[in-house]
Amino acid sequence: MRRIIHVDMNAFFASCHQAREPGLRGRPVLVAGDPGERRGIILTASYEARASGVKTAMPVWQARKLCPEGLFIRPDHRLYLDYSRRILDILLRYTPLVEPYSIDEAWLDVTGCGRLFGPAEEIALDLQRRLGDELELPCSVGISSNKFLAKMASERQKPRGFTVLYPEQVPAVLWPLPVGEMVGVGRKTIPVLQEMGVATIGQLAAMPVRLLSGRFGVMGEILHQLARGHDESPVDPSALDSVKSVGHSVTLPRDISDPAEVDTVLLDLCDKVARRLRRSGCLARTVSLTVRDHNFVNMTRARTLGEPTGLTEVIYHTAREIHRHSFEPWRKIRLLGVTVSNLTEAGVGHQLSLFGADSERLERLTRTVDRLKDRFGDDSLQRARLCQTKGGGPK
Amino acid sequence: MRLSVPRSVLADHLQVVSRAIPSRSTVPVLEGVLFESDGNRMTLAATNLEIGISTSFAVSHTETGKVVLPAKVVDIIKRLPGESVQINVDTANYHTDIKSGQADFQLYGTSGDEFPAVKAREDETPVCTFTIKIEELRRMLRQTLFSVSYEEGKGAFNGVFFSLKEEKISLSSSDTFRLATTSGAVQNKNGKDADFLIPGRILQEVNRIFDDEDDVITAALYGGRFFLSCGGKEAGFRLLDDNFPNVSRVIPSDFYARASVDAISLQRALERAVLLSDGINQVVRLAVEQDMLTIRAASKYGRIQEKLPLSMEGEKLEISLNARFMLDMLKNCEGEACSLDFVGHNKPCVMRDPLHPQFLYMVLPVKT
Repeated sequence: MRRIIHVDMNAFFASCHQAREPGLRGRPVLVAGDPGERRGIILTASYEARASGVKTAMPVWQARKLCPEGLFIRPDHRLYLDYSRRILDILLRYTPLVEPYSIDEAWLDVTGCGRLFGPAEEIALDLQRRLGDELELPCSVGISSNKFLAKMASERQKPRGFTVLYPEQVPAVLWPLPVGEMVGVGRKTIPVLQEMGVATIGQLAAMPVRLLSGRFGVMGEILHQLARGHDESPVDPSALDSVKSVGHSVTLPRDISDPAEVDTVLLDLCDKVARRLRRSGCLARTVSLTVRDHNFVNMTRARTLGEPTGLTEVIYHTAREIHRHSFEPWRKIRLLGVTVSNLTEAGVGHQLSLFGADSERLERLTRTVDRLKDRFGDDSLQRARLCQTKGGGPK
Repeated sequence: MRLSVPRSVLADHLQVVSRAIPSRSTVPVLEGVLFESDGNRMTLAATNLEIGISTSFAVSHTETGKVVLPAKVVDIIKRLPGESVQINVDTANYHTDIKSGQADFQLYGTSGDEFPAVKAREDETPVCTFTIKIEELRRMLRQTLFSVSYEEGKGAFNGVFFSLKEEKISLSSSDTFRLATTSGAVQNKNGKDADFLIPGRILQEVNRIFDDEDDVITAALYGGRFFLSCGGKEAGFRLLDDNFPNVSRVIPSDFYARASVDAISLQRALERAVLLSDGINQVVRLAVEQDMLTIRAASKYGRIQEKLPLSMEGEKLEISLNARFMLDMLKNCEGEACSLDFVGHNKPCVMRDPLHPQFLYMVLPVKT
């Protein structure tokens, strides 16, 4: 049997600020975007703030009402990345088999660590104490024999939880829980399951797998396995290295519907996405466009290209076509997002094209611009179309 | 309208026109088959506005008239129990009785007046017109249709480019990664030359509409449409309004190495190599030496190497190519040997079928 630990940092963004500035400790810290720029939602609230009823994704004005003494802080992603790296360094002292799942979560496979560090329970206690002592960061740990149960365990108790959940405990502990609490069951899946008469994890486990795979395909089989506490997936240290998609989105200062304005925003987004894509050494084949309209209705549409690309121009043209094709022109747009996925490594086996002289010239130009930006900064060179101040005039 | 017709005759003709029925159309009348009788001949027609197909045959005991019957009629006629079919259209509401053996269908037809013209207009003068042997046309399509781009929005690369010059017609296609070009003999009926571009997707239907019995096909270009006809059958193809690049300019004339290899052996070897070729480009590496061709492929699952005898003039070289692209040509190579001409590393490879010297296929390499 494997021994897997899941580490989940508590209120991570807020905890990072409290760790850096001891004066913030024990006080209600709220990390939120800029309300003036209409990005005013709570990203993370410290447990002190949560006590007054503040929740993640709540608008700032509402959080202010609930928690008038709250300390509102702008997000500092560099700080979080820095702490995330320091956490990983500590986890790697126990085993190289560490799979970071996000900026504030990771799995460890400590099956072979018994002789060095003792049983999994001891290791989990030890690393929880070290993260607290060395970094001043609280975390919850879950221990089990697979990744799914370890994560379900760490979710059980917060903050500073310590939960052991082995497969034989699944019927007693997991099965009575609402199915929405299960990792892998999202907002979209819940109503479908409910329609099938599944409200708890136990009911999902009791469902004939045939019905689930008929409704959800392969995912149905996986969900069924998970609900029974089975998960064979290995802890893969390189899982996060392979970038799966690159995306950018922006909430606009005001709603727009003029196609020319939309195009300018799209070009800016595509430029950023394409540059990050090229930096990661990848090419992408699928372009998705997300639009949130003034009624907060979200829509995402994607298109797959014949061959992978790293060019801003190609991504922009595709995003623009999706916008023209799939979204009504009268819709007032509040948020735009561009994501590229279906990535392949650039440079390995590039199929040459017969009439592609234009795109080869564009690629050369792009490489040159990238080198200039690398050397003199991202603002050193700008597309003329994007050289607009908010007033509309040139910079 | 009232007529009686052998079931197999009607089923065969419906099968031909059914290729043009759109499964869903913004114009409801197109989702059916037009039946039109002039008293002696019955004409069936269908169109999705990309391609229009009509076919006609002699009938007895008939009255003039027309009706559009739902596409279901194709399967209905095919499954009728009797040897002959009696069709009777109520001209007041287009309800149509179809009787055969003990089966009695009533189909709710609609007026044929709104159905668009599918046939060429006889009073118009064609831009050009010629006749061609069916096997010649089929050969040329076989040699070019596979390298058309079937991805939407590729403009001229979605089509086959036809260029008629006196008594010769050449066909070319490219998806920008490879290019196929071939030519054949025609009889030019009005002495006029013309260039035009037809979507590859609809040209694939030629093989399903005409068969070897059709022998000689008449072709004509009328403003915006290209028509092929033979016997009672006629198919009209929409043209693509794009410019096809100049083919002769991109075909290399100087070769670094020219090789000849057994076509079947090469095809089989590539089919094996492609099993382990890497990525969406399905790369295989060819090493061409004096009397030996070495094919290599590798992926995360393993590697393969295979050697084939070869005769060659010129310098040895290595080149990486998409195996799928080469196989597309080899499957249509009728000669025993296939010739491979190389311009160099990272330069195109030209493949030829010695049995059809007019046919030339060029593949661009995968840059490594």
